[in-house]
Order: sequence, then structure tokens, then C-alpha cells
Amino acid sequence: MRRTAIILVILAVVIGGSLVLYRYTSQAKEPPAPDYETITAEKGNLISTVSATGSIEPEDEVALLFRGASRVAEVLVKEGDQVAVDQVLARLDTTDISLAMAQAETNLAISQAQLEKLKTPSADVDITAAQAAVTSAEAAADSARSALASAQASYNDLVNGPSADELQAAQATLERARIVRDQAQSAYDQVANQPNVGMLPQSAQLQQATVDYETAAANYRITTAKPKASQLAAARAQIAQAEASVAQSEASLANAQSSLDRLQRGPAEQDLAISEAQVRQSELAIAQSRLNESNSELVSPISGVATSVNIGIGELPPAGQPAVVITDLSRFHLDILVDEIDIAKLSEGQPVSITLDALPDAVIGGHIDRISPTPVSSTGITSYKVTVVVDETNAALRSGLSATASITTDELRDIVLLPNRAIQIDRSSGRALVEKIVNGVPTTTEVQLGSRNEQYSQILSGVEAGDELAIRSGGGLDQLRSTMFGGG
Amino acid sequence: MEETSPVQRSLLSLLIGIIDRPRSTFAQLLAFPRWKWVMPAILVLLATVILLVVSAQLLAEQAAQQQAVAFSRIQGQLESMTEAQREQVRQQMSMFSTPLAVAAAEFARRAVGMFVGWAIGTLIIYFGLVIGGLEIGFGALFSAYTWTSLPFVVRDLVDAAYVAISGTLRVNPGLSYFLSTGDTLSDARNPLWVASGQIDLFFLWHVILVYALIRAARPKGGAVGLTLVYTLVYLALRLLPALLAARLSFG
Repeated sequence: MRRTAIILVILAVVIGGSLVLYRYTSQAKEPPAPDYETITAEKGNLISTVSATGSIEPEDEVALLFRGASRVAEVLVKEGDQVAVDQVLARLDTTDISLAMAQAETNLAISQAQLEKLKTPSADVDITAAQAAVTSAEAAADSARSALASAQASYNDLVNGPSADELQAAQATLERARIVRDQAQSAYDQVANQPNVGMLPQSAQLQQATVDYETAAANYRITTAKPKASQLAAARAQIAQAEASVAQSEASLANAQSSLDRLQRGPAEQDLAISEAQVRQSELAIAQSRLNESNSELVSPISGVATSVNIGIGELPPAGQPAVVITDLSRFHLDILVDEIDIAKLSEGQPVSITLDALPDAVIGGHIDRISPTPVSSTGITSYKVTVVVDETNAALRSGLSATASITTDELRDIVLLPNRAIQIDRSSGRALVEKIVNGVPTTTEVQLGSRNEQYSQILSGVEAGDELAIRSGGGLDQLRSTMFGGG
Repeated sequence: MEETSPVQRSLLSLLIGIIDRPRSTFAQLLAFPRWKWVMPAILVLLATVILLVVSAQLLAEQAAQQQAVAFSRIQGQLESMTEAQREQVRQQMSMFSTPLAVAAAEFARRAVGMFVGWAIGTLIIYFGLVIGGLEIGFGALFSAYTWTSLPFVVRDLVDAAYVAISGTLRVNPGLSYFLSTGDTLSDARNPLWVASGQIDLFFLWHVILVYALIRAARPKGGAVGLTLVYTLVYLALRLLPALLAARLSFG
């Protein structure tokens, strides 16, 4: 009995405790809140629009830059000034350019004169003078050649010594002088004993004969003696001098002959070509200087307002930045990017309603001016640039104002609508998907889309009015919205 | 003080003895192990059938819901198919969420799991005892070990009663309630949730029976340590499916 009680107690504790625990753990815990928002598909009216945002831009705007690198000499506008077409806005210092121009003009005059000179025929008097110069040079050359021959002969005489005839003549002269002296000596010997021998003519004759003999002997020795080194050197020097004279005179002759030939033949073609090229070079230098001069002026190509002036007197023009920006503020346009899904609904000339963030009460009219034929792709999204021209308005438009362009494309009534954020577009297949709640579970379901505006889409099939759908927060669906409706 | 009986006891006596005299009952089972595992096997399978009969419809609804979620999650992979192909996939998936299919699959899983679990549990204890120097037959130990599963038979019967009375399935078994997020799918992939779900009064009872079995096999020393090792390994093995599910999960 006691054992039975123990067993029952054990079973009661285990089973009873478990049942209590079951009851507690199965009812107390609430499931976590779903990570999605639930909406119900409803019927309603849909005004289909294509909307995109952009910023108001002036119809025309030019950024002007100096092409020269000089310092700014004059600034003729300030920001906000009205500017007319072709109005000079600023000038650079042109001192260097003026100097370069003067230099180029001088070079042109010189090269033109040289060309003219080349082209002028030679005068007869010049040819005659040249011929005379040639004749004179020939004579000088002949004279030099003669002098060279004479010097060469003198040198040869010096080296070779006296000829046989000259030697025989010298010996004969010496022998005659010796005979005369011997005769005078014999006559003197006959009167040598007389006391007044010195006064006698025999003495004077002997003295004369002795002197003549000595002179003849000296001449003979001179004639037969070998030439000295100094004499040879002097003779060679004379030859060298004569050769130099010959070379110089022949060069002068060639020069004179060349001048004569040139005068008689006229200028060479190469000389004319070089001279003409120099003229053209000088003309180009002048053209370049004139271009530099024109580039030193900043001229407005449009009329408008100077919206930016980035230069000051004495400064160098800023690199990579416009010196002056001219903006035409009389007309504005708006560039928007429209998704490829919507682009087929738009056409040029279609009216556009424009609202501005800065002017929330103003609704400005406009029309589609251009639709770019080529797409713009960014992060896998294909869009087209649409240019909307803003109609004339009294609104205080400014460049850069954020604007939203809305284009009505369709209007439908009593149709099934879903918020765009509930729809996901698979761009690879083009299918539209929603998460329909089936048996309490969000289930991905394909839907067929009709028209839509920036908030709602028409559902043709896949979802009926009253169906519940899940919209998950964050990421994908928010991205869907932007990809579906483009631009902004 | 329990005493081992040299006389073979009846099955009913053993069943009752497991509750109030587990050590002597296990000694009896170790002494007379022949075909003794049949009784626990029949009881376990019977309890399983009862539980599945009661809860098959609810399990089928749960499976259908999970399949709907799974189908939603693989929608991206199915987008390349035609609508007819997707419907075919949907029908094939729904075939496995009928009550009969769910009950049959669960019964097969439990039946296989029962024998595998018994083999593993016996191995843990067997090697523990052999390492401790005890010579014991594996078959005898296996027969005795199967009787430690009787608390789970009771659990299945209690579960069946709960389902029949409340009309709902148990959401958070054991202590898993305290780790539950309320999202059954994410809870099922949480290993800690799975581990804590194993720990309840029936599991504690089972551990006590394992301790009694070890003490019956080796009366002196080491039973607490081996029981602790067994418990840790048991829980670790139970965690494996959850770990695999968490690793393979696409969620």
C-alpha cells in the first residue's frame, strides 16, 4: 500500500508538474512582431503621372576663360552687371604682345627686303666691275707666280754654287791681276835702289797692282765658297712667302670669278626658297601676335548677367576656373531623369506642372522641350534625360532651385490600387512582385501592373481588393520606389 | 536499501520497480537481460503512435505553414519557371504536409532515433564502465538501458493528453521557453533553445535512471561522474541537428 502511494506520488509530481509547465510555457510567450507592415489592397481612382525632380537651370550660361597667361590689366564688369553680346568684359596686360608684334613686323620687313634684293637683276656696271676685279686678280696671281719662280731660282743658285764659266772667269781675273802685279813688281825692282823710290811711279803702280790682285783673290774665294745656312734659310723663307702670295692671289681670283659668275647667272632657287620661307615665318609671327592680342580680351558671346567674376586687376587669370560667368536669366529650363519604364509615355511638347521647394505655393507651367535619344545608366538603372522648358512666370526663379516636374499621363477610376512601396520590380525579368499574405504568411506573388503615379499603381491581376499584403521596412522596397519612379 | 533478487521478476514488476526501486530493477535486468528491450520498444512506439494520432492534424498544419514560408523564401529561385512548373513544385511540397505523411515521417524518425539513441547511450555507458575496469556484456547493458527511456514514454502520453485537451501543440518544450523568441523557425535553429528543450522533469528522471543503472552495474564509485559525462554527451548529440539546421539555413 505504501509502495503504491510512493509510485502514485512520483507519477503525480512528474505528470502534474509537466502539465503545469506545459500550460505556462505554451501560453505565456508572445511571438515577435512581424518585421513587415500589413496593408489591404483597395479600389480607388488613379491619376497617372510621371514625376521627377531636378534643379532650375538658366537656358544659357557660358563660363569664359582667358587663353593668355598675362596679368589682368582691366576688369570691366562686376557680379550682377547686365552684359550685352560682344561686350568686352576684361583685358590682359598686352605689353609683351606689343613687343612681340613689333619684333615680328621688323623681321618681316627684313626678310621681305632680302627677298626683293634676291629677285632684282644685276646691273652692267656691277658686272664690269666684277670683270675688272677678275682681271686684276689674274695679274696679281701671275706676279706672285713669277716671284715664286725667281725665289726658287735664287735658292737653286745658292745650293748649286758657281757654274764652270763663272769659275773660269774668276780664275782668269785672278790670273790677270797676278800677272799685272808681277809686272809691277819687276818694274819696281829695277828702281828699288834709288833713294827716291817712293816718289817714283813704279811704287804707286806696284801698290795698285797688289790691291787689285788681293781684290781678285777675294772675289775668287767668294765665288768658290759654299753657301751659309742663314743664306739657305733666307732663300727658303722667300720661297714660302712667294707661295703664300700665290695662294692668296689665286683665292682672290676665285672669289672675283665667283662674284662675276653669280652676277651673270642670277640668284639660286634654294636662296629664293629660303628667303620666301623667312617672309612667311615673319607673317605667321605677326598673325600669332594679333591672335594673342585678341585673346587678351574677354568678350561675352551672349547677353545676360555676370553671375561670377573671379579676376582682379594685377592678378593672373585663375587656372581651371572661369574668369567670368555670364548667365541668361531671361529663360529657364529643368533637366530631369525619367525611368525607362515611363519614358514611352512622354512626348515633346507635353505640358508639365512644376513645383518648387523654395516656393511651395507656386505652380509653374512648362512643356517638354527635348527627350534625349540616348539613355543614362547609373547603378543598373536606365533613365533618359528630359528637358522641360519653364514658361514665362512672375515667380522669382533662380538658378539652382530644387523643382519637381509632374506630367499627367492617364486618369483611371474604380481600379485596384496598391502603394508603390508594396511592389517590387525584378529588372532582369521585368516582372512585378508583391508579398501577399496567404494563410498568415507573406508569399511572393506576381502582379500585372497598369498605370501608376508616384504613390500608387494600378493592379490588373494577381491581387484583388481586400487582399492583405506585407511591406517590409528598409532596403529593397524603398529602393524599388526610387527605381520605379526615377529621378528623385 | 534495495536488494537484488536472484529470481527473475515479471515485466509488470519491472515496470513498477523502475519507478520506485530503479537500482534493484536494473540489477534484475542486467541479470536477466534476454528480450527485455522489447517491452520498452513497444511502449515507446505505442506512446509515439498515440501522440501522433492526437497531433497529426496540428503537425500537418504546422508543416503547411512552414512550407508556405519556405516557398515564399525560394520564390526568387522559382522565378525562372513557368506558372505551371511553380504550381507543380507547390503541389509536390504540399504532398508532404498531409497529416498522414507528417505522422508517418515523424514515426519513422522517432523509431530510427529510438534505436540509434539506445545504441549510442549504451555505448557511452559501456565504455565508461569498461574504462573503469568493469567487465560487462554489451547486450545485457543495452537491454537494461532501454528501460531508462520509460520516462519518455510517460512524456509522450502526457504530451498526447495535453494536445487532446488544449487542441494545440507544445511550442516550447522543456526549459526552451526561457530562450524562445516566439518565432518557431528561428528558435528551431537556435542550439541553446534546442538544448534547453531537452531538459524537463522526464529528462531528469531519465538521468536518475541512468545513474541507477550505472550503480546497479558497478555499486562502488564513479557513477556520478559517468552520469555527468553521459548527460553532456547526450545533450551534445541532441544539439547536432540544430547546429546543422542553423548552418544550412537560408534565413
